Amino acid sequence: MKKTRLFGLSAIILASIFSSCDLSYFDNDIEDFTWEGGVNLPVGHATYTLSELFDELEVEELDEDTDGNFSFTYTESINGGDDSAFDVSIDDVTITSSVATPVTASDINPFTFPVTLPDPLPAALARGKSDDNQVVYDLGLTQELTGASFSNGTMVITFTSTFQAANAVLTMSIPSFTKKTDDSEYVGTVTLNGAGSQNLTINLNEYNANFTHDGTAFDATVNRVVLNMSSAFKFISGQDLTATDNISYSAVLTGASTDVVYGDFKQEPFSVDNSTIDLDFFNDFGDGITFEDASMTIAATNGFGFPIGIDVSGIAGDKGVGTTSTALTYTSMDADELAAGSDYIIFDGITTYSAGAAAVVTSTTLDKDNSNINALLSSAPTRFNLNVSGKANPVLAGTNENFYATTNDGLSVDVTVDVPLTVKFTDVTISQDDIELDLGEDIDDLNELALNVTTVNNIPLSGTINLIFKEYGTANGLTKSIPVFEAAPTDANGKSNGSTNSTNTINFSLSEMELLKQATEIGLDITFNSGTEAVKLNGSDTIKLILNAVVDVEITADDEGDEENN
Amino acid sequence: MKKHIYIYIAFLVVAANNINAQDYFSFYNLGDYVVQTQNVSPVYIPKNSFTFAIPVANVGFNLNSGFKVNELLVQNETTNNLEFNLANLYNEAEDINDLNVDLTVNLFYMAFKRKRGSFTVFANTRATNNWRYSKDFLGIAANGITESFSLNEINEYTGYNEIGVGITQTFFNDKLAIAVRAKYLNGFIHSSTEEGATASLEIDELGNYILSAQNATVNSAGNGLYEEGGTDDFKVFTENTGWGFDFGATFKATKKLTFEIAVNDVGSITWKDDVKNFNIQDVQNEVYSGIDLRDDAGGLENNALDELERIFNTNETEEEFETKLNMKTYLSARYALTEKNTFTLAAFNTHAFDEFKPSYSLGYNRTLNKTTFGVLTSMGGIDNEFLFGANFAVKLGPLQLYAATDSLKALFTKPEEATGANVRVGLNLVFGYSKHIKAKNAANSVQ
Repeated sequence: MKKTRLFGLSAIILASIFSSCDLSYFDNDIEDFTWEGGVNLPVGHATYTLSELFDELEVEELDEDTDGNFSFTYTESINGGDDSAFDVSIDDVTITSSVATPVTASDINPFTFPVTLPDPLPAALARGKSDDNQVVYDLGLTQELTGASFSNGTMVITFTSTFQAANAVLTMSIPSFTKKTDDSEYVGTVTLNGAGSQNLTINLNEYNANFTHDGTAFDATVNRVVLNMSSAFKFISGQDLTATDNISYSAVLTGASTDVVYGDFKQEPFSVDNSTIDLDFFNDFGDGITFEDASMTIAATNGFGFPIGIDVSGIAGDKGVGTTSTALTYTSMDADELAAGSDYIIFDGITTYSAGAAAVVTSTTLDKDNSNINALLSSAPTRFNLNVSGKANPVLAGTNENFYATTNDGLSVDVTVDVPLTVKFTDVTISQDDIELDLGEDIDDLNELALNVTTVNNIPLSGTINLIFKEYGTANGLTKSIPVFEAAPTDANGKSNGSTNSTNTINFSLSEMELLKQATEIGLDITFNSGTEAVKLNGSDTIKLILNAVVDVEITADDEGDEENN
Repeated sequence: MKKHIYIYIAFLVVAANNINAQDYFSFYNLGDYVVQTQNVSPVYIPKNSFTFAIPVANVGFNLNSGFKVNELLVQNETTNNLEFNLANLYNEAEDINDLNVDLTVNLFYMAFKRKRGSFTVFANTRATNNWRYSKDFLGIAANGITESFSLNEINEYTGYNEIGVGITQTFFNDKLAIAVRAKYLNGFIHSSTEEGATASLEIDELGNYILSAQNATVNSAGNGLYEEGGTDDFKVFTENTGWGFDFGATFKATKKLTFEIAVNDVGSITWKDDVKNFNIQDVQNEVYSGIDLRDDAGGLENNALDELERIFNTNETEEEFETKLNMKTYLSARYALTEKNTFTLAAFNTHAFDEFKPSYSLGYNRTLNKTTFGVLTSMGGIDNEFLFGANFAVKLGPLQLYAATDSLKALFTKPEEATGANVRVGLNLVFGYSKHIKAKNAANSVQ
């Protein structure tokens, strides 16, 4: 009986257990296992300094000073062109003159010409005779020279006497020529015993010239050479004396050259080579940039002995041949420059000649206070045409004391356009190197894809970013824009003093994800804008992009199986 | 076939997430009727002369699920089809969750009754898996990586064979019984995390990962657990050896009241065979912000891996290590209201995570000469769930059939609504009852 109860109890328990094994719930079909989840994944980051951004533009003229101030600098050197107008040549000339016989008919009375002088000589001739001759010769120079220092050439003076009955002592003095060694004027003497000729040769390199002697005094004229000849006759008995006997000379100036000439070059035009500054800056930035503190420094090194005035309105910016040109204007605060005329700047010359005298450097800065340089740059020229014209002695004066040294440093002009990036940007776009991308099958299982793009902006410019998806370098039609990121805060000088974070989400549709799969690179265009206030850009300012993918993934076990089966 | 795989996976996941009780109270209450109870209560004073367990016919497993299968495998109300729903698991999970799997297969058992006790020879294959995982972990499985998380996972998975002998000796006119079991241990598989292992990921406002990891080491050994494709030859015996002991004692305070203590699985295994230590050096708040997109030299994908490798400096070593067995303790008081009606009050604690979270049971057994059956209630432990269980051991000629469960609800519930199971079943050949029953009766009549 007990065994029966035990068996019964056991049977009931076992039956209950097995009856509980109702697997009907599992008779229902089971859907393929599908895992749906998400991943917030840091994709990566890219940090660009402003220097790097501009490097990408291949703007090489970017400078950054020790304070981090950032500027573009363009420098172009131009030279003085043809200075031949000041290199006055003294052509070969022959100066002639003659002295008639000083013997009059009464001096030989009772004889008459021709006469063979008796012995003793007539009383009027026994004391001898003398005579003077002066020639003031205009060299006919192209400039009004007052002097020169010869470096080469000769003056050969040939004296000829027809007197048979006289020995002549001829003294030639040339006050226009002074000895370099002692500043004494040239004096030369020849003695002609009877008829004949003799020469005096003057090596001009030993002399300076003073062309201001008018025969009476210096500083009375220009371009003149004065030759004073004095003759002393001592007559000889028994020789024939005629009424036509004379002394003549010819002074032949040959091969004269100078180390320096002095004079007044008046307002002789001075040509300056044309040149061009290519402002590639604007090729890359477009015309959406307005400058606030640009300047142009024109530094001239003038090796001439006269000031040169330059009309800077010949500097103009344009965008190429045939485009509208905007000329530079300049309003000087300097009285001389104002006197020279509108838009003139003056390069001082060397005031006193000496061999090897240092050229005079004159630097003039055109800025927002005295010129239209900001406006000129803001017209976004792609080049500056430097078609400047100049003239000597730009300020009219009575007499200019100039000189021109044959050996000179000439004129060189460095035009430096300095553009501190204190700017206003309007839709200035900078394109960056493509970023490699290879998603391919990695996103096959994605249901949704969004990119959280955070910009950590240290640049005091706001902007937008376009992500341009490319397939082997060619845009594949998928472009996603990141809405406005905020500008970094600035200090009173417009300089960044912090950073601003902006986060935006970019969603990709299914069709866009297909394009995304095919993309091999991402191009990056950053478009900058400033507010109403100009900002100062610093090369070390950075913008950092942080990409964070937010993906919804759906993985179905069946897919895996299919792939395996395939 | 796929359907069966899914069902299997569902049960595995349920089991893997919710088995955390290894108390076997109901089995414990079978006591001297069933020789296999010596695995939980070393003191064994058999009621027959000789017992021989039918090999591999004695199995114990413990499943205690915290949620139902149909909460993972959810029925679509429109199509009636079943769909896996990991999000549901996540919603049901606690902040800290425990996984404790315990499987014992009795390969061999012989028990001899001695004049004052018993002598046993046995061999078992045992597998335990103790896993404490966070809700964040399940969140990752269910939802992916969408928010910050911190993982403090603890896992220890051990499979080993034990071969041993046990002896029970009574003293003081059988008032005191002391038992010892000595076990040679041979581990065939092991995997565990280092103590104090943590890993965390914080997603900051910029989307960067801020990564930390401490003591992030996983030790494994045996049978190519982490070898690609597994090992070709499963080695039953390996170089991973150790010794274990079970201690037990009973004390009859009165004729009706008996106290018992059992301390099981004291010992360790030294793992030498196929050892691998996967180490991540400690990192603290390392920021992973993706890769430098401007540096595409080497490929962006490789750069990303390089960056992660920079943060997580990993290495793999083959240094032997030692693990302790998962010690378990029982304390009980058994009160024989009458000769055939016994109440047992018991407490159990597993020291898997060196914690003290005991469970308790109160059971009743009808204690006949050759058979017993009973019921019990239990509660406490990690789940602190109130359970109702039952046990029985019957003799059919020389054949003894026994079964025990701590949760009848789990057995009687439809599988999809089950929250777990705790079962010990087996078959033994038992001989020599009559002699001892007569002796017992004679003793009783004398008294």
